[in-house]
Amino acid sequence: MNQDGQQHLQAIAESFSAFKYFEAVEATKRALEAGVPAQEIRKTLMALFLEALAFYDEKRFSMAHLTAASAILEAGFELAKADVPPKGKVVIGTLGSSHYLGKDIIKILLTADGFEVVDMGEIVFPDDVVGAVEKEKPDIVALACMVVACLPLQSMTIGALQGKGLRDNVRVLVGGAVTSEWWAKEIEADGWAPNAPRALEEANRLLRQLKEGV
Amino acid sequence: MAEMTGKERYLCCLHGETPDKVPILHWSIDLCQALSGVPMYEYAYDPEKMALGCIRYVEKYKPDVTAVSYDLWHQVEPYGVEVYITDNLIYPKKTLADRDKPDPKIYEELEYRDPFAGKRTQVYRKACEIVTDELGDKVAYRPGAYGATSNLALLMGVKESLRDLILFPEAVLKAAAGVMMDWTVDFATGLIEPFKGKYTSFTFGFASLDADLLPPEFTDAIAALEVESLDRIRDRLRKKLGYDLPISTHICGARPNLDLIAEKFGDRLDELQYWAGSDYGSNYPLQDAVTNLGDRYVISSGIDHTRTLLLGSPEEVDTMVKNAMDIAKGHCSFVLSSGCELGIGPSDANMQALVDARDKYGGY
Repeated sequence: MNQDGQQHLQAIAESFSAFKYFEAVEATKRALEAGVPAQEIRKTLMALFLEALAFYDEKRFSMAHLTAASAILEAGFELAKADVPPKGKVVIGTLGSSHYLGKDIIKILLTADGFEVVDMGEIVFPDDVVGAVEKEKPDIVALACMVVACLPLQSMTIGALQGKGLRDNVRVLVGGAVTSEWWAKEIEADGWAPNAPRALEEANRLLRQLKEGV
Repeated sequence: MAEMTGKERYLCCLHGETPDKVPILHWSIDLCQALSGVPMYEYAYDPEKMALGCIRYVEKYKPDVTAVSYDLWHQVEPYGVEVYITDNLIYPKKTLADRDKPDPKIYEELEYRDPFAGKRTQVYRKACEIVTDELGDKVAYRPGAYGATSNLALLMGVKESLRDLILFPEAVLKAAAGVMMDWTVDFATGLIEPFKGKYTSFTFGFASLDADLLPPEFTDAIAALEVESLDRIRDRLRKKLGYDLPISTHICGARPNLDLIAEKFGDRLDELQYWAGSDYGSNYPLQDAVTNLGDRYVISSGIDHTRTLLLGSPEEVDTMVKNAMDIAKGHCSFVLSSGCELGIGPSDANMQALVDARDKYGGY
């Protein structure tokens, strides 16, 4: 990366860190026009977002900061599209309720890490997941659950995948505010994550398992 | 002591007097809809079915304090906010702010809309009227509303408004202080009318002061807007009623900032209602609330409406209630309350265990 490219990346970073959405978008466009590789821009944005997540864990940032950071990251990723094949495919959705904040952050992290992510959206039910698995043939199904009343939908979804003979084809990752490691074992999910970075780690672990045929 | 009605029990607590037993407070749109005998779509648009669900809920589960249960988005219907209505859930389809493209103009150009112009709000008001006529003073009603910043978040979308507060705070705060403030005061004070004077308190809802959601650099600004919301609602209610209606609360969330709320709102509030169970609840234990705040406010808590009531056994519900009574009864003015709406599916055995345990451990 030459000095000019570094300056463009620095401009993106400064706008990102100051939560200047529109300036960050413009800086990203300028960087692309100047020939900065999309991959470098994505790496810069991802590093900034991971830093924001760390600040959130340290309680220096709130959920509001994360949502703002994710908006800038998504806009940047939309402009600086990936030019390498995805490492794996994930179908993701929120079961039963309209909560999407945590699910969207995980989606961003997975995309940034090189996964192809198909977002089923919110208020997803077991039949929707079965349909998406049949159509998209993903490696991993990630099921968020944010409301206690909707917890049974996670086990029902796993049951529905079994019923359709699809369970062995995919790894099921569960998470969300009302889930726990105990619950994930209880419903025989393949992985559980208490937060977004762990969801990313779990997705990579499950993908490795699949590729190694474990 | 003679058997009191639910309303009398709750009023005793609000007035710092001792009731015959600790009152129970909970509500549930899911259970009311199930008891109404019709699917959610019909429940949502039929005031008589909505009222029937609430009346049956009171008869069956015997809360002393409850609410006619509905979703939160009916009030922003005049702004074009639509909802999904499934068999048993109501959730917003699309709120005002764009999910993918932040735009300060949405806030800058926000106009006032009549909060009672929406069809669903009219359904809700009618249902409240029917319930009040049927149940009268049997139970306590605590109608209420959120403050201006929370209402703005409902209108714009919670995630979007959090995002936009960071990206263009001036536009967001100006909309909350202007149009949404006027709208909130009109909505809140109009909401008590269907109860025909039988309300025991006005409930001020807190969502935006949750410790996890709120950016610390905006704490003072948001708190000031919420205090202004409540002050203007209280002033309007005082003019309307000729007296000060007690102020109860609903403090939503897993990280309730009770100390901040007490610091900012002081003696404007009479009661703090939030989520704390003996084994599971928010990060503010009931013991801390009783010790730190019990001398200033009625504490309404003690029911973990998530794990214990929903997934636990009747014995575990009994233990939860006993623990709550051991901590709070006699140490503050105490209402045995869920943290929020009960979800779908607490068993009848657990709901009965709640009343039985209150009767066993909650007498004075």
